[in-house]
Amino acid sequence: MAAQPYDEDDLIDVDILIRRVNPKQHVVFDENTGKKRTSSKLFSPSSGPNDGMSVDIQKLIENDGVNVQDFVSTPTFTGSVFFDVNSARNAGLMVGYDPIVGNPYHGEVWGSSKPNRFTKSQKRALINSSAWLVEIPGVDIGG
Amino acid sequence: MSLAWKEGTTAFQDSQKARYIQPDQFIGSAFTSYRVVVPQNDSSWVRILEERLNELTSLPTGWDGYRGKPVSFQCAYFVANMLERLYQPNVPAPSLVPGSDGSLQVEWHRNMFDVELDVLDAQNIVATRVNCKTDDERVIEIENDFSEIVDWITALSSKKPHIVRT
Repeated sequence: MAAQPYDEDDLIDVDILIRRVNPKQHVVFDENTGKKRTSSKLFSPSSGPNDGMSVDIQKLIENDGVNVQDFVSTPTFTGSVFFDVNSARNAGLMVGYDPIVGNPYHGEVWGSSKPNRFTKSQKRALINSSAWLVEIPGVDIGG
Repeated sequence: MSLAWKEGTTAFQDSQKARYIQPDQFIGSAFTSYRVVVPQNDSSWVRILEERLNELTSLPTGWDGYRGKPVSFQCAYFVANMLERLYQPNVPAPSLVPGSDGSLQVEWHRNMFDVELDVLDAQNIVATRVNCKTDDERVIEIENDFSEIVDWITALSSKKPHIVRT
C-alpha cells in the first residue's frame, strides 16, 4: 500500500526523479508524427485512494553508493526517463518518499487535489520536462 | 512436468463455457500464461487484439519496474466489449497500454487526433481527445454513454468525412 500523500521537505527542487519505462508496454506508434513514443499512460498515477506515480529518487540511490543506471535498469531492457522535483511541484504535484520491499529508493508523485489523478496539463508538464536516462532507441518521450 | 490447476474467475464465456484457469502450482516449468477467450465477435479489432489482451492479463507483477499488476480480467473483458461496440471498419485497431494498477488505456494517434480512453475499471473511463492541429483538448468521464466517443472514432477514419453531430 502506498504511503499517505505528502510533500517531502528533504526533496529540494533540483533533486532528480526517475521513471522507468517498459519498452514493450509503454511505447506506442504515433501515426500523426510517424514515430514511436511513450504513451501518456506512463505518466499516470495508479487509481488506489493513496496511490500516485512510482519513481526512483536518484539522490537516495547515490547516497548508498549504488550505480543509478544499473539500479533502474533492473530487470534488464528497461528504459527510464528523469525529471526534477521542481518540474513536478510547478505542475501542482507532490513528491514524497515511499520505500518498498526491494526498493528503498522508491518514491511517489501525487496529485494535489486528487492524489491518484493527474490532469492532462500535469502529465504534459512532466513529459515536457523529462529526458532519457536510459534511452530506448528510436522512441521519443511523448504522451 | 506436472501442473495442478484450479478454476478461477470466469473472464469470458463462449459457447463451451470456457473459463479462465490459473495454475495453482507447477513443477519444472517457468512458463505461466493466462488465456482470455473472446466469444462470438465480428469485430476485427477484437480479433486482432485478442492475443494482446491475453498478454496484458498475464503480465508479471512488477512489469513496470515497480509494483505493477497485470491488467485485471474485469478491465480486459470490459475493453473487449467496449471495442466490439465502438468498432468502425475504416479505423485500425487501437494500441493498448497497461496501467500499473491493472487499468488499461485504449489509444489512437492518427488523422491529427489523439484519442485516449483510459479504462480505470469497468464503467469508469476518462476519455481524452486532442486536436493536434489546434491543440484543443476535450476530457470527459464516461460510465456507459459512448455516443460522443463514436464521433471521435469516426473522425479517426481517413476515408470518411468528419461529420459533426448537431
